[in-house]
Amino acid sequence: MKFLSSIFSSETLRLKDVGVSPLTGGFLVCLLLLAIAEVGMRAVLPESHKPRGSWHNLELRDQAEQLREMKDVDVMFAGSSIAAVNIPPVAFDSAASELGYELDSFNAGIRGCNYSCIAAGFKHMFLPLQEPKKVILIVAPVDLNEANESVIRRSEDFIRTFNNESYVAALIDVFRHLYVFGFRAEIKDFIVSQKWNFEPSLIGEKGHIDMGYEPRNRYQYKFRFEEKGRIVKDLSRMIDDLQSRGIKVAILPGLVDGSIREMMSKEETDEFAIILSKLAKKHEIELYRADDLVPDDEKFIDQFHLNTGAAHKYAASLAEKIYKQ
Amino acid sequence: MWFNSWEFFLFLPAVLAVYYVLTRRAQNIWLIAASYFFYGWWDWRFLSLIILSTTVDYLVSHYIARSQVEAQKKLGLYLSLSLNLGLLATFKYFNFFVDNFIALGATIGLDFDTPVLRLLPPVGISFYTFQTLSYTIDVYRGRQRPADSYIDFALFVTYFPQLVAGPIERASKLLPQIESKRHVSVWMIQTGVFLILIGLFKKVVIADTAGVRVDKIFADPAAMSSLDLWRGMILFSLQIYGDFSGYSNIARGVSRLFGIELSENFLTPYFSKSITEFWRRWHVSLSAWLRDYLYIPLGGNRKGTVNTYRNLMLTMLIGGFWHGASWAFIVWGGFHGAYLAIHKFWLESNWHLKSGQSGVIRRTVFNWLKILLVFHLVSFTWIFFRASDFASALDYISGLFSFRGDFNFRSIAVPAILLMVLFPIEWMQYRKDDLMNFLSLPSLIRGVMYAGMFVSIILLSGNEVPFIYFQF
Repeated sequence: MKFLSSIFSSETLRLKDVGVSPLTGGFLVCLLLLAIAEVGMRAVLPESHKPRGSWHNLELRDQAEQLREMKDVDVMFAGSSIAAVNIPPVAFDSAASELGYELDSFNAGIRGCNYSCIAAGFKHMFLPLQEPKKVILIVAPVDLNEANESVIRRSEDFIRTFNNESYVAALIDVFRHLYVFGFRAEIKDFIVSQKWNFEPSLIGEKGHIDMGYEPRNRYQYKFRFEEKGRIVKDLSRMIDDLQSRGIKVAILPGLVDGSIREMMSKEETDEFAIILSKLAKKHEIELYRADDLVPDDEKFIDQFHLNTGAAHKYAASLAEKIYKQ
Repeated sequence: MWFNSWEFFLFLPAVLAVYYVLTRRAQNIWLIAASYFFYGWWDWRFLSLIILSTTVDYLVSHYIARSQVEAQKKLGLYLSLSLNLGLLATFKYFNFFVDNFIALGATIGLDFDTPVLRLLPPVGISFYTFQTLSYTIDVYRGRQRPADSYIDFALFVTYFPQLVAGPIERASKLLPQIESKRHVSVWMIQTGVFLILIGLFKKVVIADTAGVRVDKIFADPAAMSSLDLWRGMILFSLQIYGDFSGYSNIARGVSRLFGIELSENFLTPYFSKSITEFWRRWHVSLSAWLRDYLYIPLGGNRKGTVNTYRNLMLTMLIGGFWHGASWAFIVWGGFHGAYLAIHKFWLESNWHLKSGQSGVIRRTVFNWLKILLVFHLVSFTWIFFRASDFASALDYISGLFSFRGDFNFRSIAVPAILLMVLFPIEWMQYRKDDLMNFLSLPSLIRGVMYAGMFVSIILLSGNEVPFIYFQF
């Protein structure tokens, strides 16, 4: 310690004070406790779990990694989990292939996002890796909902992460390796619920998120759509950006089950449909009508997501609908 | 650049590393560069205002000190006052004056509603303006010699730990430290790091946790039950205290790492037993500034009872307006002025002597009742501080006393927990009158406390929530 003190001391910095050690007992106890917490966390948590961080960042990393490895992408699906779960690209490509179209598609759906954050994520994460020939925007009512504060807040948090400078991102990446920091979201959950809630990366093939068959919770929602609101504006800007890059764009209304359709009043349903029509007209893009493909409610594991089998069938019938036209 | 940002986490060690190997003069130049960088992170264009203010006040202070004629001294003073208050009026209050002018015109049937220039207020302009003003006034009064070096004076104005949210330092305290060699001892590092830790804890764990709930409650007070509104009021009291005193702790801690001592800005204000005591403990550097440069020059309590009340009221109204260009802040100041006037009236009457309590238990109970009363009176005024405008503040207050909605007592769990967390820290400081007394606790207790604070900060940190007082 004396040696270190003498190295780092200067005229201003006086670490060689007589009788005062730079390392106090309190500091050492603190270090010891933090070390115990870190080791304890490593002992308690199974090795396969990885921290989910501020977002489903591992899932997004896996998804981005898959995209990086692809050569040319013909069709990319953008949207929230409604896109990510309900359209497995493998099923879509295989159905298109049967119709004579050899495609390589990728699902770039981002869980838990509204279109403000989908636009940001797509622009900052996926487009730099691959510019597809066509992007199909899957837009469900929840993706444009201005009344869902928690999604809006979460989306804003997510968007903020793209504003981080690279050195900040690198710093966070270093700290993430500490379990106490990396797993802070899981620890907070544990303190509240007494349960370890891990969210493993569910990325399947080509960016698809496979949620399986297990039923999930259902909730009540309020809806508010604003044609001139931030979310629709962000979606519109996203389309502008894609078109300026020479990428073809189309919109496909996202799937929801009967309970969501019932929760929406007639005015809200019409408002949502009008927004999509106006967007399609404004940007001169195709608006797919696929109401006849909506599966029965029992195929949904919650209000928005199909089970694995139904998702494959839906993606195949979607490809048939698009490429038979 | 916020103190609770990743950028600052990198900025501070980099600045310190270079600082420690430089000579005093080079250190000051380095600190000015670092301070300009720190401030320019928000908007580099506003640096021009700081540099203008610094240069003019430096030149004016020398002009005042050299002048033998009172009229010349006054001219120098007025020049500094006009520049600093002019900048403040333009950049902070211009929009307010224009809006009120338009509204006033509308009431008498004149339509002034034409497009007007909208100015963005520079961060911390109220703080550094008051700091430089106090310097010029002190030089004029002959209580402060002008700074010898422009570099030293520039650092006095821009020193980054206290540039954007205080404490508003007097030249008599800060300049001598800037002008002399600094020594950073192990003790200063230990106490500095401790202050930073406790400041971050207050900000991240107390203020930001309360802030999430406060935002929700104040966003739509009409939809909240009365209990929720009371909860929101108490939570905001905790939020603003955790936020601002946390900031002050960090500022002092960071400054200690540079070997410079900043003033204590908060002396456990929520333990005040009277509103007068509250203002001796809350934002001490601002209340002292208002006392020395406004209340006393207005006549203080030397010009009769009526004038004393008028001076109190004026000082607090201006103090309120200093916080922000809105009627809600003026009303907030008005409430505090009225509280102070009533307390003064109470003290000058003999009633308080008659109500004096004898016996330890009765006195203790009575003191705690006084603390609770002052806390709630202060919390009530924070509604004007937090509400988006004056009308929403009134809606909030009417909701408080309408006793509507259900009384779900589980909802008070968060304020209760935050109070329980904050209480021991405040109590320790209150009892010993010094936050540093924590450092005399046994190592084991300190170690557990540090680790607990550190882990809580990690668990609850997420977003960089800006400090409330940065907007002033």
